[in-house]
Amino acid sequence: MRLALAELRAHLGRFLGTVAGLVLLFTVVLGMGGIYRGMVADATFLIDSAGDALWLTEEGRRGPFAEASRLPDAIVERARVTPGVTDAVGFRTLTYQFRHQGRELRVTFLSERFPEGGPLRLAPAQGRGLQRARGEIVLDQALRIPLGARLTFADEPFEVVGLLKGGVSSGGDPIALLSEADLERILQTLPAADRGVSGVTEAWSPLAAVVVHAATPQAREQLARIPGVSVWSAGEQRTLLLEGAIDKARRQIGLFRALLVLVSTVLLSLVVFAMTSAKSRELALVKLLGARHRTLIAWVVGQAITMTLAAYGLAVALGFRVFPLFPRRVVLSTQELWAGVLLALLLSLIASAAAVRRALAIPAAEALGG
Amino acid sequence: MIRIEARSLSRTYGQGPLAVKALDRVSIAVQAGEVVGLLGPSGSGKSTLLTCMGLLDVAEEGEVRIDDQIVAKNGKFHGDPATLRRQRIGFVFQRANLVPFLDVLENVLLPLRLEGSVSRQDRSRVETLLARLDLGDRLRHTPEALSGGQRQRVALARALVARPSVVLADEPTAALDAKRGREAILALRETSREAGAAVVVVTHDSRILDAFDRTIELEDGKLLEPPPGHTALGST
Repeated sequence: MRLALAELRAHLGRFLGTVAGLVLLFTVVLGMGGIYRGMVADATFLIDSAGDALWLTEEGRRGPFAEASRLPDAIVERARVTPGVTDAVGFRTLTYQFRHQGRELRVTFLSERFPEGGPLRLAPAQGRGLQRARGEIVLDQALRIPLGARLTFADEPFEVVGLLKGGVSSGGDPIALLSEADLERILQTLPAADRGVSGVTEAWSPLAAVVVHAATPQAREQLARIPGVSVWSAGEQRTLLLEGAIDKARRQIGLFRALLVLVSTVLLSLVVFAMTSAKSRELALVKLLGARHRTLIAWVVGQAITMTLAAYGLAVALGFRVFPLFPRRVVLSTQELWAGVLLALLLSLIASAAAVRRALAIPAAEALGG
Repeated sequence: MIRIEARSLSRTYGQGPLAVKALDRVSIAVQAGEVVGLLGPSGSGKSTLLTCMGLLDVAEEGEVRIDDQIVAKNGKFHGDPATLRRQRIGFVFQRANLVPFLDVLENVLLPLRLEGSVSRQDRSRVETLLARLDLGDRLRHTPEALSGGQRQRVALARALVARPSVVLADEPTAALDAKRGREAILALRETSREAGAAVVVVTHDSRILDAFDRTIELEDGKLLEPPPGHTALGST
């Protein structure tokens, strides 16, 4: 290892150049994983925010996240009076696009029952929740609209009274909480031609689902007897969502990451092999002086490990600085970061294999040549 | 005391009609503190003898003994040749063959590091050795900052640092001018004698013949009688 480090110090430029290349590759690998985790976190944010709830959707539909679902308003009341049910709230969303101070913004409106609250349990990070049935809105910080700002949606004036942190719809758009009455009014004031065309970017579903909190396990069976509905647990909703739209993205990102890891391994292999070939005389010398195989292996592998771990550490540091600037959430999990260390070590060993073979094959007598 | 002995070594390269007998029943023995010059024209078998004695190659017939222990016999090593080289043999080359990214001190300490850890006493001993070789003020210099003669003295210190039984030198003065070549061979002679090591020097350099206690000449893989008048330093 002493030889490995001494040689790296002596060839600092080559070392830093290789590390810089690997840093960029590892940052992309980490970023891709983080983007996937961000997609999962975004996609499941609303489901998770409802806690351990049951979701009633249109019968045979896996809505409201994996598929479109429409229910009549009466289902809310029907669910509420089902034995074992403690609360039932309609789940209504509307994705909306608007201009604000020259910026084109997309937001998913989520109606909140007033004044009881629900269906989700979202507490503003700044400001307060809705306190009036009309004209108040709570936005996510990602929209970069300050507290107290006054906005107009479909001719309806709103004041921003609270800011959420990390509140996104399953599509990744920032969410905005407003009362059921306000959401209804926005819809009604929109010209019919705008619905799903220019202002409204998604077909309006009066009631996409009903979020139900139940006190007894038997309540699910009771709810399932309501005609025209399917009942899903929060876990089932997550699975539906992740196995549907997210799964393709996961596989695509996984393949891309595997490709990048392969490129990193090939790059590192070439560098380590070139470094080993360039020092064949020194390797022959230490063999002639009686070096054990493990000394030669430590020399070659030590360099690969040093370069890989240095690059990985810098990539993590770079990721923590750069990823928050990305337009969509990038989530770096501690578990994955540690798994990355193991992967980096494995990559070093694989990348060193050819170079180690070369080092061990160099004849010691080569050092005798003039 | 005989440090190294080659008994009836025969080494053949190739097979059939293309076979070349590089060594033909060559026997030599070198005592502790003795410096022996190995002479002969190109292709005479000098380098083959050196590689066989240095356990870099093994002769099909005959045996090599170091400190009366058989280390190679009839085509087989007895023991791990790398370990034997590390513990019993020092090498000096035509060019100094120093590791370019290690400083003088670390180059000399290299054989000790290959063997295990380096103690404070080892380091102190190496510094003393380098001071004796006029390199005391060059400990932290890298090889590229040294002259050819200085590099060869560093290589000499490296060959002796592990207190080997034998030092094998392959044309150690070939890359030096007459003055520095002579200084290097005299330093080799002096320090190895003090260390009680046997020294075998392959050379074409007629200017240094008087530095040897005796010379051995090879021709076509066979041993010749030593030339008269070149048997020892200062003797005729």
